[in-house]
Amino acid sequence: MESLKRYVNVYLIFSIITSLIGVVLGALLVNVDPYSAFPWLLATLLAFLTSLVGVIRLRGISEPYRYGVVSIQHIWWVASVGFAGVMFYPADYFRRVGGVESTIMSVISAIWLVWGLYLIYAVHKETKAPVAP
Amino acid sequence: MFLDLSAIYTTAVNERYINYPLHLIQGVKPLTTAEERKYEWIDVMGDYSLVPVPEEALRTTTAIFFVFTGVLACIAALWGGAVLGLQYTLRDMVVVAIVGCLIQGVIGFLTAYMGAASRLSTYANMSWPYGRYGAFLWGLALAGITCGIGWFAVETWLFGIMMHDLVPDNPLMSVGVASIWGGLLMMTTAAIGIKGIAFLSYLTVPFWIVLASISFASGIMVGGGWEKVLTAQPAQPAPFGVGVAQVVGLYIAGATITADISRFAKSRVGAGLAWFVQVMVVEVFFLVGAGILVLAMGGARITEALLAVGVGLGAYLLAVLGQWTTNDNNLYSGALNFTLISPVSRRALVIILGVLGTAVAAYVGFVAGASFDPFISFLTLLGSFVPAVAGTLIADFYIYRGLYKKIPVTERYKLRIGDRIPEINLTGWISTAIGGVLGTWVITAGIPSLNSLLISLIVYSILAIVFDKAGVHLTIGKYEVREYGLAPKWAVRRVSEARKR
Repeated sequence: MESLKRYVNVYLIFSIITSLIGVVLGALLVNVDPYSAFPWLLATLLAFLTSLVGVIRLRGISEPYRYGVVSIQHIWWVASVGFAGVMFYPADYFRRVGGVESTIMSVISAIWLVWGLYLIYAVHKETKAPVAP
Repeated sequence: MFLDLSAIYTTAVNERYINYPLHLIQGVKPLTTAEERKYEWIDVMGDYSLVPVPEEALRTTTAIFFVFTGVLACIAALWGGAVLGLQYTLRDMVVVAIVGCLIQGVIGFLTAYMGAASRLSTYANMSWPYGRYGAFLWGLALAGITCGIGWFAVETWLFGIMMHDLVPDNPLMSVGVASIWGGLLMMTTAAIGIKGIAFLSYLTVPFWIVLASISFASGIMVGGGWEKVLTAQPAQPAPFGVGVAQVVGLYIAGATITADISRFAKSRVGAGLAWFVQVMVVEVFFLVGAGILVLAMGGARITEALLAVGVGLGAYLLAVLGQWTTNDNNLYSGALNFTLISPVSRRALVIILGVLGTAVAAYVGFVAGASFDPFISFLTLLGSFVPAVAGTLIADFYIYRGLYKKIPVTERYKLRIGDRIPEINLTGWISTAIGGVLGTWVITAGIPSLNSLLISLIVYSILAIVFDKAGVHLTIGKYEVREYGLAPKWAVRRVSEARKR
């Protein structure tokens, strides 16, 4: 259980840091093209806030099942935003205003998605919390 | 003679284990909780269709929020916003959307709270004000036809149109053919039940919110920028009340049948808030975003805007997942209604109704093609009569049983073995008929759907209280609740099969 908690924490802290990077990159785009920056900021802020709240909520939980339920909920948020990110960051709409930035965010989104899905499975397996609690 | 100390010790430990909440002291999960021991129902129809949801199947407020938002996240919601964009300026559109959603939010809060309190579906709850057969018949009109086959067919047809717009030259993407494979796809999670629906919603909802926001932003950019949106004048101006009625009508059926999902909620207030927040935040965002798209581009070209900026796969997934998360709920809810009289399981009903709805969608797709008119007509129909059912339910639960009878909230619609529920309760029938007819066709002022709801609410409250004081019971027949809940008698054979399992 302790190692699982560590993995979940690492995932959420990773998404906090990377989404913050995304927020900064999105903020830089506002002056270039606000229409591209708006969804960019929305996606990264969603990932940032849900990860941050997740870390805070999970701190006080020791009961395995409850830990599983709460962690899966927050991982889903990040994974689903990652799913959207994989779809939209590589698009021309974002590449034209920030080629390197959109590539970075595409990779980060893919990690959010794949790692998140794996963690959901791992947490479900160990804590017996439902996959969609 | 030897005293068997081990037996005494074991008995003492067992007694202690049962009587004391050791898990609270030691952090150990008990083998059986008090609630689980009390659970005495046999779920013959599946997914607790006609029995209360047990403690261990309850879900968090977040899960309920995701499922509700998954229902909302569909192309039809965006098209509803597009209708507003044709009729109002940006400022007026925001006000109309907020007022309409506020009405939906309050209605949905009350029905969701009701479902979480009773842990029963909408149709099971309707057994009290309408009687058991009344619940089926009114539920059939409300959800069996409109939400079940009807709304499922409309959404499936819309799915076909969306696919055809995205890939017009592919025969697999013609409106009719796409309706067929789309409808079959949507049946899968509905057949699995709440687990499948919740899973898909968790995956889809944040994805959909982000993709929809890209569609709005890119649409504004392609259409000429924010300045154009701010100064744009509506193509077909309409009075304030018309827009509010459209917004309320768009989702009033959803607000009425929230109990189908909220019965799985751990928290009653949480269930109500899950509905209220998703309506006030997410629905307003969808409606206004789609309306802005119309002001900028002249039409609700949601997926076209995505395609124009190169988010091709995202556009397909937006359409597929959006319709899927909405339509599986439509079908799920429709099938729940039919369980009240059906000899077959909920899952079998989902498949039967799903095939029928898909066939209707495909037929309309092959014959009518891509006409918008059936959708507008359907919105109007929904906005007119369904709210009267919500008014009756709210009046019975909160006013008659709550304020008048002073029954505690968890006892108002509590199913108990041995209780007798009327087969037909005419009080609910009368109030709904009066509310529906007066609110829709007689009173022309105000918002028709709200008129219907308020009239049925007032009429039911007055009738129920007056009849109760006079000792008059407008009921026909009695149904004795057995361990299989509200399941029909011909389901008895299934009961014995379930017991064997």
